[in-house]
Amino acid sequence: MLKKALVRITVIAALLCLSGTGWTADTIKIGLPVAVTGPYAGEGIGTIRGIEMAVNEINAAGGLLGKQIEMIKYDTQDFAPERVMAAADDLVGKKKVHALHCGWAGWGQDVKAYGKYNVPTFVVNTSGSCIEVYKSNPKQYSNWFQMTGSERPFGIETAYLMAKLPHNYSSNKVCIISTDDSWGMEIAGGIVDGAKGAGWEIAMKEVVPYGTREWGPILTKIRSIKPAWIHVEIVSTPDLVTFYNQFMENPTNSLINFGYGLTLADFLPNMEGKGDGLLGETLVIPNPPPTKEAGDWIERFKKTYTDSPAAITLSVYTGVYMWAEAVKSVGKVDDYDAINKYLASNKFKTIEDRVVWFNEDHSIPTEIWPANHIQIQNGKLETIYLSGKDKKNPLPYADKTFEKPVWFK
Amino acid sequence: MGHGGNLMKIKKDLGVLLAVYGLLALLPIFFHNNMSLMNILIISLIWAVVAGSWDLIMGFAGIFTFGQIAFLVIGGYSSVIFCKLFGISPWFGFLIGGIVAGGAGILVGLPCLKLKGAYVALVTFAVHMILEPFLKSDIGRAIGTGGAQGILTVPPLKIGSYVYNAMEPTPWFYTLLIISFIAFFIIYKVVHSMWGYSFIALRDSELFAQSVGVNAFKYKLIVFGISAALTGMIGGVYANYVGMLSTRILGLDLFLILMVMLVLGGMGRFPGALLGAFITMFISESLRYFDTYRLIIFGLLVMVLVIKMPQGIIGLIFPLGKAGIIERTILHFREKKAKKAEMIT
Amino acid sequence: MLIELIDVLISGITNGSVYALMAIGMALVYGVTKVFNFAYGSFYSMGGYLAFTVFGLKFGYFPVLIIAVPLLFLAGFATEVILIKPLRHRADWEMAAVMVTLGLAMFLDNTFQAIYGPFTKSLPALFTGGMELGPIWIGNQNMAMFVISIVVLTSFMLFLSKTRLGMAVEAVAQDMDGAQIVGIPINVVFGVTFAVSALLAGLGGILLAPKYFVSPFGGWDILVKAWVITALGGMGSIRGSLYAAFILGIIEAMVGYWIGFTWILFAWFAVLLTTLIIRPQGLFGTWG
Repeated sequence: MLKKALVRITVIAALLCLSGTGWTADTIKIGLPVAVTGPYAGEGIGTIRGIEMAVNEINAAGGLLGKQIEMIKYDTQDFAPERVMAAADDLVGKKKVHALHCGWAGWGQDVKAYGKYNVPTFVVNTSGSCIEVYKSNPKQYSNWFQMTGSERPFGIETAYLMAKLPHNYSSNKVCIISTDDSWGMEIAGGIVDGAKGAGWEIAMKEVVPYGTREWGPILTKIRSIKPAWIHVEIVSTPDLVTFYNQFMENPTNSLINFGYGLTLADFLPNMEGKGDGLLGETLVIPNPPPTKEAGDWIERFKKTYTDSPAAITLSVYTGVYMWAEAVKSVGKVDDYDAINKYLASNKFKTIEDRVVWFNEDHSIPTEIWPANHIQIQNGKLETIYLSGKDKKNPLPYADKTFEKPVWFK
Repeated sequence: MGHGGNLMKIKKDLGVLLAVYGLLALLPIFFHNNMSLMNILIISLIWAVVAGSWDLIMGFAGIFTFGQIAFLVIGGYSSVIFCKLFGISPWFGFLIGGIVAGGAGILVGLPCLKLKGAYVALVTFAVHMILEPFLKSDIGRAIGTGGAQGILTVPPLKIGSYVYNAMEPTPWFYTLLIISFIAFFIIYKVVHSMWGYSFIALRDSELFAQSVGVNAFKYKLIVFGISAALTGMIGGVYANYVGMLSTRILGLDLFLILMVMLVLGGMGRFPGALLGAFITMFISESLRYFDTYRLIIFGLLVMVLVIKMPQGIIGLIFPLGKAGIIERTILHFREKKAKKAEMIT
Repeated sequence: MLIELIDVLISGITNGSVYALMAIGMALVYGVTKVFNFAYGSFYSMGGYLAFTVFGLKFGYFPVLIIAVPLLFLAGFATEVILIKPLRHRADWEMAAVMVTLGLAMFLDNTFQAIYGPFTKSLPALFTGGMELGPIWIGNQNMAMFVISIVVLTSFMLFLSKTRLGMAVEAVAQDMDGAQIVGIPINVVFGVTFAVSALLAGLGGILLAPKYFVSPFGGWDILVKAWVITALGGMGSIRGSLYAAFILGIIEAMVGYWIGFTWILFAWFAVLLTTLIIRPQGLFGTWG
């Protein structure tokens, strides 16, 4: 009986081991550890599209160093640390990819997992905790590059921008609502930091879990405070739209800033033309586009994918081109140390005609790649201000100006 | 089944356990350079312990709990926090993780003693649900959970002058092989002890068990404690292996995959959870390139297996036989009749 | 201060009416078949997606009901016949039923994601506007939800206590074997109960879709909340669920106002635990 069982175990084990074998071809391989299932799949789509677009363009123009680029995806699902480790081992260890383009990749586990190897790794985390992990061992993690900075400065910028708007505030009270993850907490903290200098008084600071759909108690507070403006930092469309709908049932004369939420891929479609006057901050290409190149890029994107590009799309797209430029200059795709060194010590031009570079901490903070401040006008996102070197002094952009929201009485 | 049958079953269970571990111990000889495979094997060993201790309480003791991941997280956090606070070695940290989680298990077990079926599931799941806001709150931060960000650095594991690291999976593998073997040996011992028989008696008929003098109260608490302690211990190991800890582990993904491991392996069939963990991980990895369809296939697989293969993979290798199932069914109906008769009188 | 208190109470009642709708189907299916249906939330999502699909064809809300009602009923019936019935003879069938419905939930949710993508979908509002009573403002949507949930629940309770089929369902819920002896076709009752439960969950999804939107994994939140509500009310007691829904809804609003939104689940479970320690069968439950 035991013998028979042993034979059966061996057969099952052997069958399982047969699954999954790698292959080789004369292409340059890049790994995409991106969430395509689960709650983060939405951002994942924006990420894959951005990388795909850049890769297709490079391939159509003859490839990189004469070779075609091939993309290999790995579903990172919920970014559990062990899953991110598995992604690194599978893509770099087993499939021998030459670079990793990840989009949003985690809050520190990505630095550790991908930093174990030395292939250039591009992430768009906007995470201070990642920078902390990077700083704990810069030599080990020298292949890790964050296309954005930490979260907090976005909040500080927002506080100053709101003070600069040509708007007659009835008071200086601010209500802040954020989620309980580090993104929400840090942005809310940034607004509190900036509030003092910008002349705001924090009248309410609420933390809510993801999935909040009924806003009654918070709206009761807002209606009794009657704040000058309300900041809601939640990276989830249904949460934001339910807030807006319920606020609109009996609105106060307060401006509303939805931060990054305004550029979530499914936000505008679900607003169904409502929401004129909502404000937000993000890294999408300013509207109207600053260069012809950037305008063409948006058109090309819309032609291929019908939707508008998400904020993350531009960042990953730029990342692929920065990597390609480094590879071209080095002349070899697998001299990783040289490529990483090139990336860390050179400046790059984006399609918006901005010059960006990686700081000492291998990130591109908002001073270098400034956020643009947007408002919904006639159902479209319009850029009204652009932050620059001076966080406290955002500059007006193009011909669009701030408009009073529809709900003001 | 007579006494002889039981003895044979005991020998068989230990035999299977040793055979599986023997086979596993050979794997690094062939695959030690394959990082991704080694990583999967290590993670499988970790989840196997969680699934195994879950099976101890749910499959053997028949207590319907959903709190296993909560104990994993409690063990992980307390292990790391103690190591950081007192500078003790992570090896002791694992023990402390086990002790704290075991204590938490007994605490959670207390209100469950009076409850039945889906209520126990709810109360234990409640612990799972409120752990996240607690760990993220100011109180959690004060203890050292790192709030929403979680714990980003974990003190490294050392043995003598050797420091475990991510580049060398083989030492990790053998360490986990030993730790998980100890865990499964404990589970094996518990299942085949007087305690174990009491659990099974309680599961199959609480009334009968009580009438022959089994103290439901005591044994239920013990099984809560042991199951949670083993899970908490491996929680510490997990935190050390992945090098960080946050509340996201409390999401739905791990919960579902552990359930699948139990179903695939065969609930209440030793060492089904061990096999289930490996097979689930390998199926999951093989289907990786199917993206969304992977989880659709997984869902289908679970449904088919529960209906067509109630004994899981272990039942495929060691079928209980038709008589076993029929016997159990007859027993079930007899029990029901007895219950009804009792209600009438 | 008084106005704020009334405002919070109104929020609580709004929550309560939504929760009553969410939980009734689960209370029914647990009460009658003793199955804890893990795919309950997926039926809720199914309702939302059906509404979205039919509405996308530009027919308005009425055809949504005509198409969705039989489909949801059928889906529930099929679930019972294909997945639950084969398990019923087993000693460990209650746990097996949880596992099988868990598999179903994984299957359905990911199928939704494969078909509709991960993004949130919305439907136009059923009711807009509201009325002003001095400083207090009540939205029509919330009023409608309150009326609908009260009407649905009371008519459902009447159905159970006054009609033949309803009484058969009640009989099975109280004593399965006894019901079989007196000639009630329990397999039909089980099937119909599951079908009605899926239908109620799906209708909840349709009604709430314009307010809360539809997303592939949106059902899990509903499942957890419905579970707590039915447990507090007493698993299987529909009247109990009704009270529990409003109690928990009001607690949610008060905790949200005075303590903070992140503590709502904490408060829910605290109330549940205290209740269960005093009354292990829930507010209105009886041991089955």
